[in-house]
Amino acid sequence: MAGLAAAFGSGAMTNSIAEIEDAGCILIIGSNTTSCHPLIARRVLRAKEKGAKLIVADPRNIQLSRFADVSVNHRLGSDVALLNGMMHLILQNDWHAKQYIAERTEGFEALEETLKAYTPEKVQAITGVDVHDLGKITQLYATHPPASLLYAMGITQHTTGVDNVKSCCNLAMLCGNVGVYGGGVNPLRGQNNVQGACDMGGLPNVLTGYQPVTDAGVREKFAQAWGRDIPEKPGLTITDMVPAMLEGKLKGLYVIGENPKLSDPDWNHLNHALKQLDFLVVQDLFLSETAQVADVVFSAASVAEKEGTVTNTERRCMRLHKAVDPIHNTLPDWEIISRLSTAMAYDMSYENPEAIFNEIASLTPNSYAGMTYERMGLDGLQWPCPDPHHPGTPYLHKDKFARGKGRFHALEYQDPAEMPDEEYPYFLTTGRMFAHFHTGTMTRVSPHLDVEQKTGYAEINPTDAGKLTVNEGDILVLSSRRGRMEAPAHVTESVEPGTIFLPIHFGENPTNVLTDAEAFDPLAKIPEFKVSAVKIEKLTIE
Amino acid sequence: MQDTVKAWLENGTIDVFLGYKKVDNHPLPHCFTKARLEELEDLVVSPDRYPLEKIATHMTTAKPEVKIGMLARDCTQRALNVLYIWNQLDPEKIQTLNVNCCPSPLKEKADCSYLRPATVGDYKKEKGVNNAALLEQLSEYGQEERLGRWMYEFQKCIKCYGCRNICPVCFCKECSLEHEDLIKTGALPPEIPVFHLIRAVHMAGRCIDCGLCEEACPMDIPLRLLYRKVNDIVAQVFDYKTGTSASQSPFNILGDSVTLEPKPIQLTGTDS
Amino acid sequence: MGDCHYLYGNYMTIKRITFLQELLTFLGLEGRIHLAWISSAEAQKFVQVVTDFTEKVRALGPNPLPTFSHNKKAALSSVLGRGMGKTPGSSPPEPALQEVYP
Repeated sequence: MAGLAAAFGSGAMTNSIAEIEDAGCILIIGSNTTSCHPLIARRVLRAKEKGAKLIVADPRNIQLSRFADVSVNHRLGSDVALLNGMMHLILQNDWHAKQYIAERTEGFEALEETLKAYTPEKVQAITGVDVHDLGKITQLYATHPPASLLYAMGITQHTTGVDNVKSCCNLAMLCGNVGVYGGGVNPLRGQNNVQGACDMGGLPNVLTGYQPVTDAGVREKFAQAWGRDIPEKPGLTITDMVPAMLEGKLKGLYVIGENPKLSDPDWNHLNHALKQLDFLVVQDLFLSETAQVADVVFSAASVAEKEGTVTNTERRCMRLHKAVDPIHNTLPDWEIISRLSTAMAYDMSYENPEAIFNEIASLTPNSYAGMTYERMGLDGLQWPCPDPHHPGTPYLHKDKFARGKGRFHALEYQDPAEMPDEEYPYFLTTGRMFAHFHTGTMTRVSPHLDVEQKTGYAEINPTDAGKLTVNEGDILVLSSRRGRMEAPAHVTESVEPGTIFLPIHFGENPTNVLTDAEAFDPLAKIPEFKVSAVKIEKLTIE
Repeated sequence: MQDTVKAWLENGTIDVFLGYKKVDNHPLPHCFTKARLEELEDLVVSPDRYPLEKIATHMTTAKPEVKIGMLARDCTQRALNVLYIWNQLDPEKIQTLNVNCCPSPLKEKADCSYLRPATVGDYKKEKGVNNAALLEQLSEYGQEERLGRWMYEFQKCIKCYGCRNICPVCFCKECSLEHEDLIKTGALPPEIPVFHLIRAVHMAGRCIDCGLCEEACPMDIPLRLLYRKVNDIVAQVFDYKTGTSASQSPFNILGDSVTLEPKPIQLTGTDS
Repeated sequence: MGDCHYLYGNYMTIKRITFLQELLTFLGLEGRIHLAWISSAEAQKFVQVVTDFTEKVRALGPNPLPTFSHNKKAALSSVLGRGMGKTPGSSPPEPALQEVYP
C-alpha cells in the first residue's frame, strides 16, 4: 500500500482481474497464485493459452512454474536486486518507454544512476538467478506489451516490503505499463474485503478512502458529520501495539475478525504481551485461539447471515445479500459495534447497512461518492466512482497518475534482517496452502477442507532430507533465535535446497514461534514473515 | 409458461417450482412457491444453466414428500432419468415444463443458446486438448502425445471440485475424490491423472452430457470431451445410452449375457 | 464365462475392465491393464500370465506419470517436447529468445 501510493498516488491494484487475460506478458513475483488466488490464476492460464508470455519469479516452485515460459527461483528476500537487474538490462537494451518516462514520470535519472551497478553478474551473486535466465525474463517482460505484474505477500512481508513494491512500480513504469489496459502493477489482496477494510479507514492514519487524519479539512468534515472531534494523531499499527502492550501503555484491545495469536510474528513474545492487557475483547465467528484467552467474546454473524458490501482486490465494491438469518443469537458486526458505541454514550443508530453505505458515499468524495446500492446491482462498481453517472474505473492512472506524475524510486538492495549462518543454516519461509485460509478459524472446521490437510508440515527439499536422513512424515524440530517447534517433514522439490517452507494455518504447529517480531518494514510495519533463519534436526526418541 | 406454473402451484400438482428469476440482469435459479405467486412475473428461461435437478435432489433428501416442478431442457430430462434409475428422485413427484435445449450427440437439432463458439487459444491447441475437438480428432495423436496433452490439461487443476459440485448426477454421500486413501491430499495439482480418472470412471452410466462441468471448470479442462469418451465406451461395451430412458441401467443390475472377450496380451497371446 | 463363484461377477468384470482399457488408451496409457480368467487350480497358467504381463509392461518402459509430478517447467516440457506433432492451425513457433546478456 505505502509503496504503491508513493509511486502512483493510489494504493490499490491498478488494473482489473478480467484484463489479465489480455496481457501480452505476465510477471508473477511472490504469489502462489493457484493456491491463494485461484480465480486469478484462471485468468493467467487463459492469457497463457491465448499466447501471452508467462514469467514466474519465486523462491519456491509453484504450480504455475510448470506453465511459465521462464521460471526463476531467486533467493528469499532478493526481490529488489532481481528487479534492479531486469531494469539494468532494459536500459542496456534500450527497451524502456522513453516518451512515457519523459511525459508521465519523475525521478528517472536517479534510478538510472542506481541501476548501473546492478549488472547481471552482481544480480546473480545476490539472487542466484543465472545471468541467461535474467536476460530471458527481461526480454519477455520488456518486449511483449502490455505486461501485467502480479504480486502478493511474497513481495510485501519483508523488512524491505515497501522497497520491493516500489521496485515493481519502477519496472512497470520503465516499460510504460501503468495506466494501460491489460498492464499494471497488481497486488493480489488476500481476502475478499481487504481493500474494503482499507477504504473504510481500517488503518491507523486515514479515514475513508485514504483521507489522512492529519488533514484538518478532512477532520473538520468528519467532525461535522459525526458530531465529535476527530483525533489528529495517527493511531498505532499492530506492530506498534505489541511493544505498547508490553510497556503497559496499551491496556485494552478490541480484536475484530483477526486471530493475532496465530497470525502475528514471534508467538512467545505476543503471548507475553497479551497477558499484560487489562482487557481483551474478541469479535469473531468462531472461538479462535485469541478468543479463547479473551475477557469478552462477541460472536459475530457470518457472511451469509448479513447485508452489506465488500470491496475486493480490483476495487470492486459489491453487495452482500443475506441468505439466512443469523443463528444462535449472533449479530452482524455493524450491529455489535453500533450497540457497543451506544452503550458507551455515543449514540450510533442506523436503520440498516444501506444507511451506513450512504454515509460512506457522502464522506468519501472520489472513490465512493457515486455509488448506491441500486447502482451496484449484482456486478458492483469499481472505484473511483466520483459521481452518480460515473461508470466506475476498470484501470487506474489512465492519462495521469493519481499523484500527478509517476515517481521512480532509486533503491539499493538490502539483505533480509536475518540471513542463515553457521548456527541457523536454513532459510525459513512461510505462507499458505490451497485448502486453508490464514489461521484456519473458518477452514479447519470444514470437514472437506480438513481432510485435505489435517496438520502442519514442513516442506524440505529431497537433497536436504537426504543429508538429514529424513523421510516423508518424520518429525522435524525447527528452531530459530525466537523459539522451537515440531512438524512432520514433507519432502518435495517445491522448495529449493537450503529452504524450508511452513504453512501458517495450524495452531498446533504455530509457525510464528520461529518468526521475528523485531524485523518489519519501517514504513508499512509489515513483519518479515517470509524470511527467517532456522536450524533443523530430526526428532529422535531416546 | 407463467400460467401453467401458476395453475400447477394453485391446484396442488406441485408444491414448489424451480426456474430462473432475473435479478439485476442475471438469471438466477429460484424456487417459486404458492405463497409468492407474484414472483412468477420474473420467471425466465435462462441461457445460463444451473442444475435445477440437483437442487431437486437436495430438496428431496431433506423433504421426501415434496412435489417439485421445474423447467427442463433435454439435458434436464436425461439427468432426471438417471436420478430416477438411481432412486434419488421419484418420477411421481416431479413435473417438468419443457423448454428448448442444447445440441448434443443425443439430440443434434436444438436451438438453445448454449455451445457458444468457444475461443480456444493457439497455445492450448498446440500443447493441450482443444475443448472444441471431436473424439476422432484426438485419436489422430500418438499415445505419448495424447498423454502429454491430457496431462497438460490436468496439471492446471486447482481441485475446486466445481465439476463435481455442479454435476446433476453426482449424488453420493461419500465421494471417492475426497478419500485420502485413493487420492493423495494436500497438494496442487491434485494427484493426476488419478483424480480426473476416478471421476471419469464414476461418470460411466451417469454422465448425461450436459456440459455443466466444463462450463464450471475455472481452468477450462475439456471435461465434457473426456466424459463423452466415457459415454462412447459405455455405448460400445454396455450397449447403453445414458439418460435416454428411465428403465434400469446395466450399472445397477447384473447383466445376463455378454459377448465380449478380454483383450489378449499382444506379446504372447496365451490368454483365452 | 458365467462360471463364476459370484454368478455374474465375471460378466461385470469383463465389461468394466474393457471400459477401463478403452479409457486409459484414450488418455495415452495403452496396454498397462490386463484381465485373464484363472481358476484357483490353474497355478501354471497364473504364473504364465503374470510373467508375460510383467515382460510386456517392462517392454513399455517406465511409467511416464511421475514425470508430471514436480512443479518444475522441465516436467511439462520434457514430455511435451517428445513426440509432439504439429497441429493444424497452430501458430508458428516463436523465434528463439535472443541472448540479451552478452
